[in-house]
Amino acid sequence: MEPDVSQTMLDNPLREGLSLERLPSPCAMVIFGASGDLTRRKLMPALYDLALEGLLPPGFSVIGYARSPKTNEEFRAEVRESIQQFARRTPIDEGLLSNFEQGVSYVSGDFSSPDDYARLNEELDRLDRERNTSGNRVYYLATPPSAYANIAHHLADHGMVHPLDDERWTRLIVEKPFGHDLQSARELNETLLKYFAEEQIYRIDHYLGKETVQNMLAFRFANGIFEPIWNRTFIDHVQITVAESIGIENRGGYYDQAGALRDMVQNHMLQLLSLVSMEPPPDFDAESVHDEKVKALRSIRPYQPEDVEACTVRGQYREGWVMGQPYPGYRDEARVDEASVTETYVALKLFIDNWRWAGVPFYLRTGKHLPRRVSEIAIQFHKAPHPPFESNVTQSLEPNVLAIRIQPDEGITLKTTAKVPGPSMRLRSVNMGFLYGTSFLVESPDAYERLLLDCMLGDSTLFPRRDGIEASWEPITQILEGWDASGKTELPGYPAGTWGPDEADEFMERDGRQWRQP
Amino acid sequence: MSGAGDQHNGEFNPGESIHLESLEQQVAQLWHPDASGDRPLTSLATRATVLNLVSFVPDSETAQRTISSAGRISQIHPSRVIIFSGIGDQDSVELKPDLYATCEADSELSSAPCIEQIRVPVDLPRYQQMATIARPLLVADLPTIVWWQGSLDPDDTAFLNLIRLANLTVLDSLKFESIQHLADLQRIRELLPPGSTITDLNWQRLQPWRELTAQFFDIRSMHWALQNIRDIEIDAGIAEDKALPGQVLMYISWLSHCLGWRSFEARRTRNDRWYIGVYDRRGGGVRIIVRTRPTGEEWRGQLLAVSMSAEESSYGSCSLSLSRTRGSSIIRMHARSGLNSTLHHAVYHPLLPDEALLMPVFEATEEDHMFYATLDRTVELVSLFGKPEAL
Repeated sequence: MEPDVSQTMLDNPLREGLSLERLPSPCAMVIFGASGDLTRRKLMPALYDLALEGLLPPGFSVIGYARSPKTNEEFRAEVRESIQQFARRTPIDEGLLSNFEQGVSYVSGDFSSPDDYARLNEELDRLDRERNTSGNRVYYLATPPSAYANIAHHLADHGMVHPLDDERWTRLIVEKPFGHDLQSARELNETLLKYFAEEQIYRIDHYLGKETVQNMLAFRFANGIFEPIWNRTFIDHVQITVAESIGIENRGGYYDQAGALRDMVQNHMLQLLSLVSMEPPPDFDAESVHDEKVKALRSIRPYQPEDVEACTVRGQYREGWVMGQPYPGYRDEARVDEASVTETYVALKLFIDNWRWAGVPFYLRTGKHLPRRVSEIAIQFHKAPHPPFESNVTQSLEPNVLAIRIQPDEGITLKTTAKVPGPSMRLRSVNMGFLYGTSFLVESPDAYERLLLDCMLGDSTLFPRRDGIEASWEPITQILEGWDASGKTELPGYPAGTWGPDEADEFMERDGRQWRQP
Repeated sequence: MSGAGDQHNGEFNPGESIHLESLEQQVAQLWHPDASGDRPLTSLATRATVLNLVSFVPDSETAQRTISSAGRISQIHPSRVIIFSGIGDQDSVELKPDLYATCEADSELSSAPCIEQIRVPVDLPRYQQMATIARPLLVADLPTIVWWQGSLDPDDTAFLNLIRLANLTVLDSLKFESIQHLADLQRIRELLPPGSTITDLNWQRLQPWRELTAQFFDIRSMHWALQNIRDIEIDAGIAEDKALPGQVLMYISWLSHCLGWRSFEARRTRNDRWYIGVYDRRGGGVRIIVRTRPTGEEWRGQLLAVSMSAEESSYGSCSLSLSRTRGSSIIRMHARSGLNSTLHHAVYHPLLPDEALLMPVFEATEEDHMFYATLDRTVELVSLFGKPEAL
C-alpha cells in the first residue's frame, strides 16, 4: 500500500499545527533525459525553489541520467547555471544552493543498456546508505515517449520498482504526449502497467498545477452561490480558450505530427472542461476527484464521422505579425512539411450528455500565433427573461458572463449590467472583478513545484488517471478520424496575430453566438 | 498613478477631536476616479481588499519602523492601516492625523498594490479613545488585526478595548520587559471575545526550528527516537535582561506538549545556564540544559542551536543537531544514527523582519491551538522556576 499522507502526520505528534503539513518522506529522484530543456528550465529550478521553501525532505537527492558522458561536477555546474537562470526566487542563496548540489549526481547511460541500469541502481543504493533516502524513488521520464516502455522495462528488470505493499515507495512521472490516439494511449498504459501499478504512475499535465485551475475547485465547491446555477437552466454555453501568441518555435518536427488538437485539446483543454463540468465529488480524495472528472469526460457526446467537419474548424497560420514582430507562415517553418495539413488552430463544439449539461454547447478553441497569450473559461448565462425596460434599453442588454482567467492576470470576473448614472434609464455592462493579484499578491508557485511535491507526497489528485487519459482520447480520436476521412489537402489560413480563420467566426455565428475577445 | 506617493493631509485642528466622517470621506475620495485630476488612478490600482491593520506604537521611532513595515505588508496584502502613534510627554507635537495613500506602480506584479495609511498621533486622552476612533475607519467585512507594540498591561482598558475590535491580536514576547509577562498574555487571551484570537511573533520565529525538529522524526527509521529522547541542549542569544529567553521556553514547552512530558524541576545553575528536568510519558527522565551566549543585537533571545539525543536498548542511539551560524540565512540539520548513518540537511530561513513574520499570520487568522497549548505549558514552566531571579 502507498503510505497514507495523513497517517504519516499522525505518526509524528510534532507535526500538529505546523504549516508544512505536507512534507514528503526522504527520497531520491532520477531524471531520465537530464540533458534536456525540461530539466534545465523547469525541473531543477522547481526543485531548488522547493528547497528554498523548506519543502524537500532531509537527504533529498537527484540523479541525472542521460546518454552524454559527464562527471558529477559537470552536471552540478549545469544544474547551478539552470537554477541561477530560471529559479523563481532570486537572488539565489549560495548556502542553500551548495547544500542542494550535494544531493545532485549524474549517471551516464543508455536507455536500453542493462549495465547502465545496474550502475544507476548502485548509485541509488549509495544514496540510501549515505543520505538516508530510504529506498523511496521518483523516476521522472523527461524523454521522448518512445523511450517510456524501454525505461520502465529495465527499471523493473533490475528490481528498481518496489511493489505497492513494500515499505519503500516507487513513483513514475511521465510527460505528455501520452499517446497519439486512443489506441496508442491504451497500449502505453498497458505497457507501463506491466511494471508499475496505476497508483505509482503520475501523468503530468502542468496545467493542473496552476493555482487558478486548482482554484476552480475551490470556486465551484466552496461557495454556495454558484453551484445552484451551474447547469443547463441558467447557462447558455461555455467557451474555453487557450490562445498562444508564440508559434511552434523549434518544435516543427514534433508539432507537424501532433497539431493543436493533440497538443492542447486532448490534455490541457479537456482537463479544464472536466473541472468545469464535473459533479461535486464527495470528498477531495484523489480517487473521488478523478471519478467525477472521468464521468464528465465519458459523458461527452460521441462525434459521428459525418458530423466532425460541422462541429470543428481547423486553421493554419500564415505569414503575419504578432506583437510587432513578423513571423513566417506555418508551412515555411523549419521541419514542417510544405504541404502540411496539420492544424495550428482548432475550434470545436461538444456536448456533455448528462442531466446537468444537456443541450449546453461547450466551445473550445486553441491556436498558435494568436494575438495574445490567454487562457480562460467563460460561462455565459441566459439573458434575463423579461427585463422591464423600454425596448431600446433591453436591446442593448448583454448576458451575464462569468470568466475564469487562468493566465495571465489570473482571476474571475462577472459581467453584469448596471444603470449609467443620469436622468434616463441607460444600461451598460460592467465587470465585477476578482483578480488573484489583488487579494493575494503572493507569488504563486510554479506548476512544476506543486506537481513534483504532490508526487513525492503520493497525492495524485492533480495527475490524470489512466481512465481519464483514455476518456479524453475518445472524442479526440473520433475527430481525427473524421478529419482523415474528409481528405482535405488545404486548411483555412489566418494571418499570424489574428484570432483564427474567418471560418471560426462563421462557425459561432451559425449558432447565433460569437467568440469572446479575451 | 505614479510610483511616488499620493499624500492627502486631513484638515484638522490640533487638539480638536477627530472628524471621523471627514476622514473617511477623504479616504474614499482618494480613490474616486475624478478626484483631483492630476492623480488619475487606473483600474489597475488595488485598494485595501484584504485586511484592516491597526497598530499602536509607543514612540516616533517605532512609528517610523511600523510605517515602513505596514507599507511592505500592504504590497502583499492591500490593507487599510491605522497607526496610533504615542507622543509621550511632548506637548508641542501636533495631534493632526495624516492620510497617506501610495500605489506601487513599479511593482513587478500586474496590479499596483496600494497602501492606505491613517496615522493618528496619540496623547493620553486620545489613547483612551483609540478603539472609538478606529472602529468607524475599519473597512467592513475585512478581518481586523491589531498589532500591539506598546507595553503589555491586561488591566489597561484602552488596550483591551482596541483588541476587542480585532479578529487577531499580534504581540511580540521577544520584546517583553520580563518573561513573566507571558502569564499576562495567557490572561489577555481569556479576556478576548469569541472569534478573536491572539498570537505572538516570537512563536512565529520558532516555526523553522519546529519544522526541522519534526522533519527529523518524520523519517520512519527515527520514529522510535521520539519517545526515547534523553538529553536536550539548547543555545540561545543572551536576552535583554540576561534571563532565560522566552523563545527557548516556548520550544521546550512545545516539545513537552506534543510528547506528553511533565516538567518536575527547573533552576538556574549558573549565570548563563539553566537546567530543566522532565519526565516523559513513560516516566523516563529527560535532561534539558539551556545556555545563553553574548550575541549581536539582532540575535538577542533567539535560538541558535538545539541538539538532542535518544537511546533505546533495541534501537541503539541517535542524535539530532540543528544550528544556525550567526549571520547565516541557513539552519543546518546534522543527524546521526548508529555508527555510520548520517544525515545532512539545510533550510533557508533568514532572521525575518517583523513584517515577514506577520504575513503568514495574516493568511490564517483562526485560533492557533498549538500556540495556546504551548503558552499554557510555558506559563507552568515559568512558575516552576519559582523566584524571578531563578529565571
